[in-house]
This record gives sequence, structure tokens and C-alpha cells, in this order.
Amino acid sequence: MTTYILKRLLTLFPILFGISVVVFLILHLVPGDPALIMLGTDATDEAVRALRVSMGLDKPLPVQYVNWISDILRGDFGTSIRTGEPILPEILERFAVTLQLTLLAAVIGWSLAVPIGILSAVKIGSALDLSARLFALLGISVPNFAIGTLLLLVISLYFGWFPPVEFIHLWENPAQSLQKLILPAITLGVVMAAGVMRMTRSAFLETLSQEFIRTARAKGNPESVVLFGHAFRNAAIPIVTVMGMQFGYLLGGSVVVERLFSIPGLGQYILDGIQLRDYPVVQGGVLFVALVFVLVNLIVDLVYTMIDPRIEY
Amino acid sequence: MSNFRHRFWRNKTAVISGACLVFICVIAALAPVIAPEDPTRMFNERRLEGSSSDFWLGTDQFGRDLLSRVIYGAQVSLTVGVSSVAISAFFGALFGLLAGYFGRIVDAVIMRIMDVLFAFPEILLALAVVAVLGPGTYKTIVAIGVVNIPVFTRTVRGAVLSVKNLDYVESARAIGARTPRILFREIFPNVSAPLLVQSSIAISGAILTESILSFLGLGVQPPDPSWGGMIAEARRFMELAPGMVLWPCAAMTVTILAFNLFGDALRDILDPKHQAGK
Repeated sequence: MTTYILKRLLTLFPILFGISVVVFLILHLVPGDPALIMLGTDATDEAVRALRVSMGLDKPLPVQYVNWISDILRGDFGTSIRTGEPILPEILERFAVTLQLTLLAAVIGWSLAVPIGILSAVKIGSALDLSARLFALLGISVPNFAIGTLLLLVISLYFGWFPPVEFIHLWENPAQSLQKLILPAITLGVVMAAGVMRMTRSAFLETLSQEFIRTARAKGNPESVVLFGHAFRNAAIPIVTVMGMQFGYLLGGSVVVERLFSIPGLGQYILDGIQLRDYPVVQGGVLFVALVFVLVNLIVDLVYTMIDPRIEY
Repeated sequence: MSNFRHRFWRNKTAVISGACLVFICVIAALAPVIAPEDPTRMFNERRLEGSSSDFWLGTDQFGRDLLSRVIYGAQVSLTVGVSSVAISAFFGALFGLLAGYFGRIVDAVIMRIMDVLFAFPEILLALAVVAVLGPGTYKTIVAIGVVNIPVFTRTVRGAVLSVKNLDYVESARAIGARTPRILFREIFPNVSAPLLVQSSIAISGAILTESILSFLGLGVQPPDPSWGGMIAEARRFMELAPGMVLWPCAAMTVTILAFNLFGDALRDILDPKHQAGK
């Protein structure tokens, strides 16, 4: 087990290096002069030259990369062109916001999806099964911003309620914070629920058709023991796989939902950076999200080995 | 081939979703002929109207005909979807063939690069490419195209690996066929089935991504109609004219759903082993 963890950590390094190169190139693949683009066309020549020097853009590319990566490793993600503020503290603050949103979405989505998926598999062909499958199909076909907009439309039109404008952290005032977070969390959660529900259903169907389940039932076990003691652990692997894959969706999808519901999260930050041509912000934000994603995937892989001791790498 | 045709027509999902797709493609292609109005033409006196005999789906905040905008939006979405997947499939198949067939160093280098690209969430990668290239329809096609290359590479490589060592490839080599010929005449035809399935699913994903980018203002630029862009504009006028949100939503859902279902059905038809959970 420890050798597996160590081996897994070793494979991380080339990937981390690759990620850093890709993010580094974001600034340098921009067609034209990045300094000029960042300051805008009515900037003075001196300002552009000064920016180029302060960002080290006049040095050869490998030197720039080494400088950039050594800064990153010391925790210096650079400063925003627009605000002049250091980027990493802002990223961390906004990530806390995004985290609240994504965790709430995951809790809502998965806690609904797994039971419904199991029921759907157990009562295959029933009205519940059919409507669950329809819902899941829609969940993966309707874009999340459309779901969010429709939710807003329905809630505001028929219930006359609007989410509050201010964002409050969950730990400061849960009741008020939830008012802001509930609709975007449901929006993100619906799509996640759709994916997990389908996989839960198909994993349980496949597991329940196997021989050992017949044995378990023949032994006289109550159905609940068959389902949760025997079937669940075997069906869990593909379900956990899908959940792990959905973290990527969460990190990406939160960009849209944050824009839609005006949540001051990391996604909004990156988006603002793109629209205002604030490349250091884009680089810092994308790098941070990619790192989190890699970390999450690593944790998911480790969870597999805990669920299924047969897996060896 | 006739086996495929036989199984295709027996699969209800494939037939119905396929028919929907044909319908949508025809509408998109014939947009200039079918659409009642120019999608950018503003009827200033008829803003934010509901359905009427003149404007079957109503008008938007500039008095533009929603039906025409939805129809032209189909043209935009399908163009972006199909073009970007064409790019991804072409380069993905190329890299997948090279990696799978030549193995060792070629495989290692190509797959390491793909692993790095896989390390980014898809939308984030698309955003990064858009950050570099800027907004606009053609750049969106390139961005989505690039983002989907790793998936196709992986799919094609897997398919190549599974047929690489089979007898008929060996015998082709034994009679002296040169590598390019082996690649394209023996291996590629057996890779085309997973490629087709992947393409259908990828197109639905590409349309989804395009709508997200357009919604964020980074994809298709106004006044060109795009379903995502239309929904973004509709937000401010939602209560006054809910149709502005509902019609593009409905169009998007039907299109993406049709591609998803078609891809699923194709997979069932082409790979009978994949029958889990039907």
C-alpha cells in the first residue's frame, strides 16, 4: 500500500511539471505583445516598457520560466495587473467561497442521487425508475447555466423570491448564507446527481445480477443486508469513479454558476482576469485549480484502494 | 455492414434520435431559407413581445424575431460542434494511431502530454485557450477542438492496441506491406467504430461547451445569434419575456439530448459487450 502511494506520488512530478509549462505558456502564446495587451491600446510606450521589464518579459523564455516557477514555489503567484494586489491571497479567499458552493452542491447532488439510483435499480421498470432515468438524461443534456436560469425564472416568477445580493460565508451566518448558496448549489448538484444516479443504477444492476448475490439471498439474508452488506461495496467502485470525475466538472462548472448567481468565487476571479486581459490572474487561478484537481484525483485513487483491496498497482 | 444496418434499424433509440439529428441538421443548413426574418434585424416597435402570428416565438429586447434567432443559433451550434469535433477527431486519431501502433517512446511521449492535458478540468482548459486566443466563433472552434484531442487520442489508442497484434495485421506485415499501408488499411477501419461513437458524444459536449462560452461572452459574439448568448441576454428580461430563455433552452436541450442518445445507441449497436444497465 505504501509503495503504491509512493509510486503514485512519483508520477505526480512530471504531471505537475507539464501543468506548470502549460500555464506558463498562457501568457506567452498570446499573439502580439502581452504587455501591450494587458495595459490596453491607449497605454504609453514607457508604461508598456516598464511592465515588460518588471515582469521580466525581455528575458529569454527558459529564464522566465525558471523565475516564474521559483516564485510560485515560494508562494508568490505574482500581482494583478488591474489591482496591483498579490494574487495568491485573493485566490485563497475566493477558493474558500467556491469550496462552500461545490461542497454544498456535492452533498445535495450525491445524497439524492445514490438512494434514487439504488431504488431505480431495485424497482427496475417502475414509474420511479423511468422518471429517474428521464431526469438523469435531462440533467446531462441541459447546460448548467440553463438549469440555473430556469430555476431563477421559476422561483422569482412564481414565488416572488430572489436570492440576496450579498455573499456571506456559511460559518458566519448559515441561514443567510444558504439563501445565497442554495440555488447555485442545486444548479450544480442537479448535473452531478444525473451522472451519479445513472452510474449507481447501472452499477447496482450489474452487481445484483451476479452469482454471489443469489447466494446471499439463498442464505436467507434480508434484502437490506444483501443490498448494503454485499452489493454496495462491489457497486461502489464505478460510483466513486464517477464522483471523482465530477470534481473536474465542479471546478469548471462553478465558473458559470458563480457568474450567473454573482458569487465572488475563484471562477469569477479567473473569468474577470480573462475579460480584463489580466494574464497573471488567469495563470495563477488556472494553476491553482489544476493543482487542486490533481490532488483530488490522487485522493480518489487512494480511496479506491481502500474500497477494493484487490486493486494493486 | 448489412449487419450494422440491420441492428441500427432495430434500435428504436438510434432511429428516433437519428431522425431528430437529421431534422436539426436540415433546419440548420436551410436557415437562410426557413427563417422568417434576418436574425439581427430589429423591429423597434415590437420589442419583448410574446408569440404572435408575425413572430411565432415572440421577440427579444431589440425586437428581433426569436424563431429566426433560434434557427440561426442551430446553424452556429452545429457548425461549432461539428467543426471542433472534426479537429479533435483528426488529431486525436492521428496521435492515437501513432501512439498505439509504434508504442514505446512515441507512445510514452504522446500519452504523457495527453495526461497533462487531462489534468485540467475541461471548461478550465477551454477558458485558458480562449484567454490566449481571444473570443470569437472561429477561435471557439479551435479552443474546443484542442480541448477534446486527448479523449480521442485515448480512445483510438485503446482501439489500436486491441487489434495491433491480431493475426490479420501480422499477415499483412508478412506479405511485406509497409507501415503506412498497415496503419490505414488494416488498423484504421477497426478503429472507426469507437471513433464514431466518441464523435457523436463529443459533438454534444462541444455544443454544450460552446453554449457555456457564449453565455460567458467568450464564444460567439453578438449580434450573431447563439443559444448560450441568447440566454445570457435574456436574463435581464426574464420576467417580461420568459420566451427569451425558454425557446433557446428547449432547442439546446433537444439537440444535445439527441446527440447523447444517438451516441449511446451507436455504442450499443457497435459493441454488443457494452450492454450494462439497459
